[in-house]
Amino acid sequence: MISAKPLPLFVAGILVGLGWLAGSIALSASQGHGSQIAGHRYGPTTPGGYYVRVDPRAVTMAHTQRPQLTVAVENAAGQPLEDVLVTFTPSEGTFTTSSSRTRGGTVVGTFIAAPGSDSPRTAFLVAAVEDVEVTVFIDIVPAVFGR
Amino acid sequence: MTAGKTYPIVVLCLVFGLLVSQAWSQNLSIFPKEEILLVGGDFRLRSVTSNIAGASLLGGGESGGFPTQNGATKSFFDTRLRLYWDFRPSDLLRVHYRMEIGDVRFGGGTENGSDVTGNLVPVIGPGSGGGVGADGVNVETKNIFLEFAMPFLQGLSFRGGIFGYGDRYDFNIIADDFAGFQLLYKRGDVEAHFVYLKFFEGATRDNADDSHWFGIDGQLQISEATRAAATFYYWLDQEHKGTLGFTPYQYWLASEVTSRLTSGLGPIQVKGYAIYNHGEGYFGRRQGTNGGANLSLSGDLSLNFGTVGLQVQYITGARGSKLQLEGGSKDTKNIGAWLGYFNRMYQGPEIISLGPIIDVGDGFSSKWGTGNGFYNGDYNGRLLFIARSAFPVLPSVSLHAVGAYDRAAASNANGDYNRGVEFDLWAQWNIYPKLWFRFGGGYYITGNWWKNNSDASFDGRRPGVPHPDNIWQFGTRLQYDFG
Repeated sequence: MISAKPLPLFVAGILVGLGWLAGSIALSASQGHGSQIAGHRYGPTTPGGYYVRVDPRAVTMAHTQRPQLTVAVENAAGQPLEDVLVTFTPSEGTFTTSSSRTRGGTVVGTFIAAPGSDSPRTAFLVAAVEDVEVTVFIDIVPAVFGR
Repeated sequence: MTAGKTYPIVVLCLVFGLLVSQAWSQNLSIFPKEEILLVGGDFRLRSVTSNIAGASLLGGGESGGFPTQNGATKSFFDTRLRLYWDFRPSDLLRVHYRMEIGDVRFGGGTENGSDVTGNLVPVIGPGSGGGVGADGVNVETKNIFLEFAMPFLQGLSFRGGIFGYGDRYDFNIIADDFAGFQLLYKRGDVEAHFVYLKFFEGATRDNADDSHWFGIDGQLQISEATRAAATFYYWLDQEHKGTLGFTPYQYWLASEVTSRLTSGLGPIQVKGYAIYNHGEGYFGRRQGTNGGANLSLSGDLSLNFGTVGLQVQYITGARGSKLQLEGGSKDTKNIGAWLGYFNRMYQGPEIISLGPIIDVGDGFSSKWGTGNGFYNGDYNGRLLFIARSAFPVLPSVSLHAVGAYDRAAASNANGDYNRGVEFDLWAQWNIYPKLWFRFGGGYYITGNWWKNNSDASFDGRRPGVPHPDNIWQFGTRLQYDFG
């Protein structure tokens, strides 16, 4: 049975410190990815043997929004690779990038839905590195549901 | 100090430490001041010409259309402005406000009313201000919510306030603006959320009038081209408890698979879903249970010259009329029909579903939230085939053609299944970037299901007409999206 003693000040201090530590670890873990992006790694591609990650893997957007998507290319050890060609094929609208080749291991682009098509639907964007194609599903929903 | 107090203090210390560490680690420059303001919205001018009977003719609201006999043609213009403001001091937080003026009908001056003391009061509402002199009081709040990234777990965020929420199943179960809360998680291949919505809140000191909606939804990208999702919704509807002696409830258990397939002609986007629904005391009108399934499979093929798609949907139903099947509020029989709460399905047809031409089809899907709707109010279910297509005939013009066959899954009280066939044709001209004009129409050939069918009326109890009209709707829509 646990005795009913007051919680000593130093115990409380230790607990606060432990909380601080846990919080700091959580924060550093959440911020420490650098250019690495989360999610499944696809590949290796042929012939380059690259591995590909795409983030986000799913997007829900209003037709007027312009979400950003990132494709990261890395080697088997997870090191980012430079100057790898990444192509994008949207099922509708456009996807624009500042460069079609990786810089710092990534290509970042912006998706714009087809103009005026505000009916709810699912579009997709195919990001391809050599022979590996990754599909991002884009759910387009009305900006406001109610009428 | 007792053990009962020790544990809370230990937990509080840990939480305090966590919070302080998080606060200490926040760079104050992340929140310099509320200086990032995004503004956007859309402006719409619309015309509608139709012979669909508005439910208002029979005592209901404008929502909900159905065939009638020798129905009058209605024709009107309306306009609407929606604006939003997004305060985004950082990527971690935003406050969203969305308003709407309209829909204001041209010439639609509405009579003023009077309060209990006899004083004249101006009509306040979305449709006022269209008459001579304008000056309507017609501003609505559509959305207000706060959203921020939660500390401790990357990808977790909180949203609370009034926001739009819709299911992933073609909006068959629920889609509208609601007051509630959401916890959203998004990271890598996983996306999930928990949602709580409140439908009714009468007296705040009395929980007997509440109506709660709970939902949990998750999706996983399972391969390069395929994702799978699952959802559970639970609706606890004390608002409609009435004299039932128990609290009505409904739940929906659903799953969806979406995939991009390749073919010799081009990529095909395939989507299939299955929803099981079960409940008791639907809208407080009956004691019995209900249960059923809603199955859908669709494929849209992208070709060099356009897109063509097919969809088939089957919703289980029970034979007979609503009057027969409900049999009074004390009926305890099980009804083998799939039911929704807000059915706002789109997917192509202008009249059968919420149409893309003028946005609100005023058709069969627009009866919602009353339990008196088309297939959220009759129990015959349906078998629906949709063929849809879109062709970019010019760089700024696309042409859209849709055909649909609509059939009940179980016969009505007269033994009829065939609801009808719909054809739609419409075009969209993108005049300037974000400014577009859409025009076209839909024509629905009514089948025998509508004849002498009490389910084909607003309240589901009035007798149906013996010779329902074929129904049609034409519209134009000029819209500018900005922001």
